[in-house]
Amino acid sequence: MRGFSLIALIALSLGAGLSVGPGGQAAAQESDPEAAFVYGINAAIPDNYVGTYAPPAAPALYLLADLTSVISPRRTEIAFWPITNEYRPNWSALNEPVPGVLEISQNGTLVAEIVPTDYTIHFEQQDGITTAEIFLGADAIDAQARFEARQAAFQQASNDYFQAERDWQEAVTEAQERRQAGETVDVPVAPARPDPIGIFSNGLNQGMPIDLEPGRYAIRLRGPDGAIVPGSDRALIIFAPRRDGVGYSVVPETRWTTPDESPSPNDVIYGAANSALYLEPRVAREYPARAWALLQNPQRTAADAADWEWVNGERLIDARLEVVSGDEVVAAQELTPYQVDQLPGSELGYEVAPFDAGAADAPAAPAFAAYPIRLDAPGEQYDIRLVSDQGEILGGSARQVRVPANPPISRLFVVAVAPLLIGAAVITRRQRRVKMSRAAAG
Amino acid sequence: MVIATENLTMRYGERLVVDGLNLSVRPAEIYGFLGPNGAGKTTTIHILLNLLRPTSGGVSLFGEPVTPGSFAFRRLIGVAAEEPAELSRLTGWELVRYFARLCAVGAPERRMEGLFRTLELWDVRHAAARDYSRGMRQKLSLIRALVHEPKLLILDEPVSGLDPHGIRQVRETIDAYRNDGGTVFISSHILSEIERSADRVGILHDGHLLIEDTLDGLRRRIGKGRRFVVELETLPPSLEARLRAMPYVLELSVSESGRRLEMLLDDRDDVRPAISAIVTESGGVILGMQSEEMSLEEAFVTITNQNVTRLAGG
Amino acid sequence: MSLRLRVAKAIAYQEIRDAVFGWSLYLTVAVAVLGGTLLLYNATRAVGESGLEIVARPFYQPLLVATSLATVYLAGWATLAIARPRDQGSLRVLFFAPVDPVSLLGALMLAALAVYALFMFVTIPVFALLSLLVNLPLPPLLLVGMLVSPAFAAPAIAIGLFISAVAGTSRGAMFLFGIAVVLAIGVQIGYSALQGVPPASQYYDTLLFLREVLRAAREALRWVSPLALVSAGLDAALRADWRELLVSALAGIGGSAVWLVLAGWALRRRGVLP
Repeated sequence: MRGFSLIALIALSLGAGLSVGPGGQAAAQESDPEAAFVYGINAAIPDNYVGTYAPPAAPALYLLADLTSVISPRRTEIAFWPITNEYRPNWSALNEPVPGVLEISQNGTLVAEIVPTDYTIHFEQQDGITTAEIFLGADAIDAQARFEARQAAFQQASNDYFQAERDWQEAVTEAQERRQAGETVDVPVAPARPDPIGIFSNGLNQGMPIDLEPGRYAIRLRGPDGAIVPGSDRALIIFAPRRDGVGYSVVPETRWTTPDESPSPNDVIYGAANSALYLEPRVAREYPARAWALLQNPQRTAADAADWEWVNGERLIDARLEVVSGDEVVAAQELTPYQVDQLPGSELGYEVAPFDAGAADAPAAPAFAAYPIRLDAPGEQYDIRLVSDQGEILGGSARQVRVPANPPISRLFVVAVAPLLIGAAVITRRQRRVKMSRAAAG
Repeated sequence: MVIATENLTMRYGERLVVDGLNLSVRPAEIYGFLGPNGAGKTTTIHILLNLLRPTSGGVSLFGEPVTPGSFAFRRLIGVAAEEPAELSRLTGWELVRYFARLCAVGAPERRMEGLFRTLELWDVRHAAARDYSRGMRQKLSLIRALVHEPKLLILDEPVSGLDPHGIRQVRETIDAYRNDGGTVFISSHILSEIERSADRVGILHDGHLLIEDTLDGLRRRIGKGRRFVVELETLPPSLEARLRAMPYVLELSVSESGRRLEMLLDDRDDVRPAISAIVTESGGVILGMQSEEMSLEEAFVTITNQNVTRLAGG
Repeated sequence: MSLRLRVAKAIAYQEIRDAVFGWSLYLTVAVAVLGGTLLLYNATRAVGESGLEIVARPFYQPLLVATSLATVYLAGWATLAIARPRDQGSLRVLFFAPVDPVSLLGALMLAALAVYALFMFVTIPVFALLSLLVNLPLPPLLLVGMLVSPAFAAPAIAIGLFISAVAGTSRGAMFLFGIAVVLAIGVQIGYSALQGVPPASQYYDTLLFLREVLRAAREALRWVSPLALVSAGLDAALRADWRELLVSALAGIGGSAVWLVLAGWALRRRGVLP
């Protein structure tokens, strides 16, 4: 086995060397900016959009099936940025649309020709969650007009508010002075701040909407002169999730600003004793890992971490959480909004409490909405699941929640040594039997 | 025939290792297969056991031809060859029992005990075989070859590394096996042992079977006969001339004292009474007569030298 | 019982005994269990420090490490199973008995799979005990995957036997084994490394071609590499994708049959003499 060990060591060293060699030693320096043909991409994901772009160094675009994404042929300045190993665009220096018709073909056959269309994407934020909606063509113009009207109304309301607040400040000052003079005066009520607009628009733009079945396609831009625009040939990979289910953003009581994600049905939620966890339900989908990474950044050169990846998506709201211990449902939780209150005084910390809109110091909106789970003793274990209003268990929503038993380290590693002890006993016993005296061997 | 080869030839590239070998081994005989190192003996054994495919020619064992890929016949054969020093972690007992299982022997322990005791390995049977001395490994190899009561025993240098006591044990074991009806094929270059046991011998040289015969037949073929020594009280004057005149006296030498005559006799007939009569008629007094056969070693050397001379065009 | 089967059983029994009385089996089990213990210990520590740890597929990594280690160990064992006794002359002695290449290879494969089962027989209860100690569940679906895992380890053993049969010496066999390991690991590592080459690199265009070659090799290896089959099989079991589990198992069994046939051809061709 000595030779075997040596070969394995050499193999691992070679592997380590390979992993360091070419990437590390290849010359990578910042390049001068140069104008280049690129595709601007608004890639649709469930309930949202990811904005990215594909420079010449990105040979393929990745988009999800059965969702409307938009790509825009443009010319911009790009420069290689060695720190991130990517080409960065300088839209402010150059941002010209490239006219033409987008040709999409599959296996050499033209399947679609897409002309530029007006579009706008509106992003709405609620309870900390952002969702997006795309409008195309005439709808885009209308939506943008409505947005701009709302924006103008908000601007006006804000202006009115600022004026009212100035007036209120003056009134308060006057009231204070009169009070000091001994008059009984009611302090005027502060003006109400206008509700945030809650919507963001990326403006009215031109782009080619794409909504295709899963598969591998080729795209190119044919210019007004009938010629193919140089640099416009790319592959287009349309992919779909393999499975969907229910995922959770798990907010631990001890660090509510940095929740962990549990998108996969195989996850186990491991929580500390004497703590609370808050589970925000999501729709989860399983995507090919590499395609998912390249959808978000076509230049990504990182190696595949895994073949498939579960990703949490939009919020799920129509369900009840059941906590099961053994065969018994020990708790049924409804989705509850929560607020985070800073603790008063010199004490550092905060408290997570149910959102009370009517309280005097209530925040404008809850911090998050989730199902609470209380964990008490080490060694506890529960199963959780989401149940619809009709009493059906939502597929993929089951999780196990466990509290570590915290055994001493020595007990854990004794287990690892056990096979060696067994081997020592077996081999020693055998060697005692076959040992021969020198006299007998003579 | 238990073993029969027909024009067996083995060539490695341009080197001819076995050249048109036609040997035969009869049932219940001890056949000595002789040859210097590199003659092709071990290669021949490997071909007999179907561990090597010959370049041409055929082999029959127990009257059946050995075909490529056949292996079941090895159940009828026991092979004792030089054991490799690095055996597995098995004890001697375990190793023999392993081979007994391979040859489908059920409950071999009693037979194993007999063999281990006969060859004086009983006390070390539970020791690791890799710790055995060379001689012990040879004996273990023989036990392994005999445990399944084969019909044919093939032995390659069976007494190599053994002390005289061990050699005698091995010889007695082989004799007992032959007396039970077994056939023995011994390959060796220790000619004295072959001379004691073998019924017939085959002499291999440079892959070629030079001769295959009984020992007496060997001597006769060479044309050199029995060596005969006569001790006299005194040498009668006419005795030497009369003996030299005899056609069956091939060579005659007289010692300086005249009292010792060494003769090489043509061995076709027993001429010792005639010589005795001549000595007496010549007036000599015989103090002692001693007959010495040509040893196998002498026969072997003679035959191989003749072959070398013949090949060299002499 | 046929002679071949009887002989194969006898040889297999002996090989299993040899493995049980050797240190390398216990060392490999200990390393596998230690690796799993470390991973689990890290998880419990992470919970203590941050209050929450989402454990993706508990015990998947530890069992994958254990299965992969067992596979590589048995592949290495198989690589020497014929070459070393042939070098030493003891293979010749074995063939003094009514042994042929089919019974020998069948026996070695049987013995290796039995040792693999022994490995799992020790490892899985240890992980079950660890599961109780740290209160992390051992998924029953993963245990189903482990039951099928001999089918994924079999090609590695068969490849080792082929290398052992075809190599002239045991040193040569270890060299070929090293090449095979470097190929399996190196394709993946090389592909990963080349993905990190920046587009502005002067070597980019040349390395892009090489990267595509490695990507194609990687895809091919998914169906041939035993380690890839182990990973794909356990993954399929966890997803309860019985069809993919069956396909992976059949690929493993089919692959090992092909390599065993090649090993038989190589053994007949090279022979059993040193």
